[in-house]
Amino acid sequence: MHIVRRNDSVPIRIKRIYKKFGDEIILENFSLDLPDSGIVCFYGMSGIGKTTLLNIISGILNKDSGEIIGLENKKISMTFQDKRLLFWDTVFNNVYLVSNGDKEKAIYFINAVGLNGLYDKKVSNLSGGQQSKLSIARALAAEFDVLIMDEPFSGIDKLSTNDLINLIKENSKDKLVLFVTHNTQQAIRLSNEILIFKGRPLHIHNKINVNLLEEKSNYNSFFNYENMILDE
Amino acid sequence: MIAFSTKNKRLSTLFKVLSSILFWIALWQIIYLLINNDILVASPVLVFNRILEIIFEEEFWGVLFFSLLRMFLGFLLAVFFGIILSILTARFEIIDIIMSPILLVIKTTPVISFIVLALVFINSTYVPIFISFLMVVPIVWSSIRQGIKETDIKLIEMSNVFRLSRYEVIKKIYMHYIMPYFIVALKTGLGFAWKSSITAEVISNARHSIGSKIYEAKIYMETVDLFSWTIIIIILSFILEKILIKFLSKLH
Repeated sequence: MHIVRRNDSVPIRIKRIYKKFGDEIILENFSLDLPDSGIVCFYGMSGIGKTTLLNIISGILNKDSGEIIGLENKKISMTFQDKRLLFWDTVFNNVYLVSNGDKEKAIYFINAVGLNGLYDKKVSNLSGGQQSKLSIARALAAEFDVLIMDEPFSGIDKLSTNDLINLIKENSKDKLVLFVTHNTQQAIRLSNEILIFKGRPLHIHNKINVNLLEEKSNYNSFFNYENMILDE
Repeated sequence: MIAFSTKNKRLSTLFKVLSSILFWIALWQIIYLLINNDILVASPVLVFNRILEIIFEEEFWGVLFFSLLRMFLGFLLAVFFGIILSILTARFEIIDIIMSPILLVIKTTPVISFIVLALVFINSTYVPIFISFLMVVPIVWSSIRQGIKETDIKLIEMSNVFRLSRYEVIKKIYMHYIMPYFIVALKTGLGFAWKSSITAEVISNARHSIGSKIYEAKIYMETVDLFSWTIIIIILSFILEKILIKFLSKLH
């Protein structure tokens, strides 16, 4: 098993988090240290509590107990599993809303995700894949220190996904990206580190460092990584 | 082609409306002839002549102005307080618990009870303002509260993550959910305000009012006047609603 543990500084510290829905314990004494930059993938089966963890980190959900240190002054941006777009409004307005009044920035990211010319189209008239792209454009157009992405590429074709992965990488340098996926290829291509989660309660089963760009472009290494994850 | 079909549709609607009005006037004429008693049922011809006379009387515009002014004052005050109340009740549960029974009482109590009660405490001139206010507040309040309740909480969470200002959240998210209810509330509220303020004018015999004219017509058994003023009220109500719809469509 090829596991590389990082020795980075630990600016964000999740300590002994506890979260319960009804009688079901989702997180119990969950702790995790995160760097302040890099792309960390949360990989694991559906329904084990990864989204709950992300929602607690983003502040959407309250934890029952525990603490998160280091996020206090950090700006968060997010793509949601259920998109959470203003479906009655236009593509442009959805992105412009979070861009701090920067029209050019909004247009840049709409174009960058491949929604050129659809500025005035209503979100409700977009396909599922286009809505995912818009969600990514909105997340990137907002100012952020931490970008949380919950299954951001659902419904998007492989070619576009690769372009979007590059776009996210380019625009998240020196920032922290937390990224949930069930797709091993996406996990390997996008992240520096993959945290393999198991439940319940949610716990980190393993950490895989894939922070070697040369190896990522090498097919053998790529499949090695993929097999390594799937073996988990 | 589209313009032509739109014009055709409008003409067809106009034709239907005019046919309906003519049908009811014809029926009215038949009933008038059958009953043959000017005190019970006035002649349509006499009523229309009287309406023309009333419109050209100098007093008419003053009466109209003050009746509309009273109704609008009550209506606008109700819209203002209805909005404030709905925000407060949505924000603070305790206010909702306190206010809900009061608003339910207002909704279910006959307007006449409030008018009589108001006459004890308020000058008769202001009773129509108070009554139209009282009738419209629950409509505006409950409709906006419903809109707030139906607002997608997930979008509010999204707005928190993106640190949107309160103004942006209201304008971009809440307004979308509230506006359809608010528009219906304004349309319904205006009708209620108009009817209730005229009723209050009749009971309180407010000076320079349509209500006082109806009251006088009733006292002197001037059935033609009674019918004429009633038709004037209906026409005014129709015009007001049309103006409001135009205004609201621009607002939306």
